[in-house]
Amino acid sequence: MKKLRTLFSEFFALLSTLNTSGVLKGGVVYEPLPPHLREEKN
Amino acid sequence: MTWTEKVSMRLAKRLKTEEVPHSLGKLAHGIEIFLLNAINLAALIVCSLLLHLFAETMLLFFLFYFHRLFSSGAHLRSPWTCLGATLALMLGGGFLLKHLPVLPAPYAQLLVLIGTGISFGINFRHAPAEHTYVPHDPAVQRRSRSIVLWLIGVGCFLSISLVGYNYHISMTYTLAVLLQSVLLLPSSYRLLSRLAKS
Repeated sequence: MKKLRTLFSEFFALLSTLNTSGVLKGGVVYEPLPPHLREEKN
Repeated sequence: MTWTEKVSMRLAKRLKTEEVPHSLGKLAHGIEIFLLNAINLAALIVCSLLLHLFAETMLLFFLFYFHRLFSSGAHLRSPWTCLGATLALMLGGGFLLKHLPVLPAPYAQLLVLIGTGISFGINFRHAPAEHTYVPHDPAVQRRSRSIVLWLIGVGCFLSISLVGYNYHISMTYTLAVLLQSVLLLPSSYRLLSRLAKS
């Protein structure tokens, strides 16, 4: 369970990093709020 | 806050522990990207199966998506209108491909060459699209443009070579890159922003 949680969190963090660095674009979806704006909002 | 933002934040809070080094915002951002893509894919699978356009639509979608991953392009600001536009575009394309008449090989090759040539030109001039929220890095932009141009070059060569063997794959590729490049044009951005306002 712990390993699975780490694996998922690494995957989602990688997805976010690739998107915010501009390496991978959004594909077909609209652009979700990036992490820094999301944290400001909360 | 949108519905997907709320769900992704809730899932990120569940995932985040002291051992996870990433911030809550980062995890929620990654989850939302994954979630929206999964919803789009699921909706597309269901609609294409219902309309008996599965093979045409899915091939068109994957080729379109693969190019758009590197180039991005115009999109609507709400996830649901964006989903509707994606469905209309992909299912319309799938319908067109299913009912496309088979042209003689030289004409088909000319069509592929013109289609991919236009796409190459548009991508050369406008790819990749800038992010809405994140400042762009010129080095990354240059690399993304090179990747897309190489993809179109190789795709054009393969499509022309394959016309005689698999006509539909060649035509699907041409339509996918044409759609992807049209969505990079400034006029597409203007049209979508006008649609979003109305």
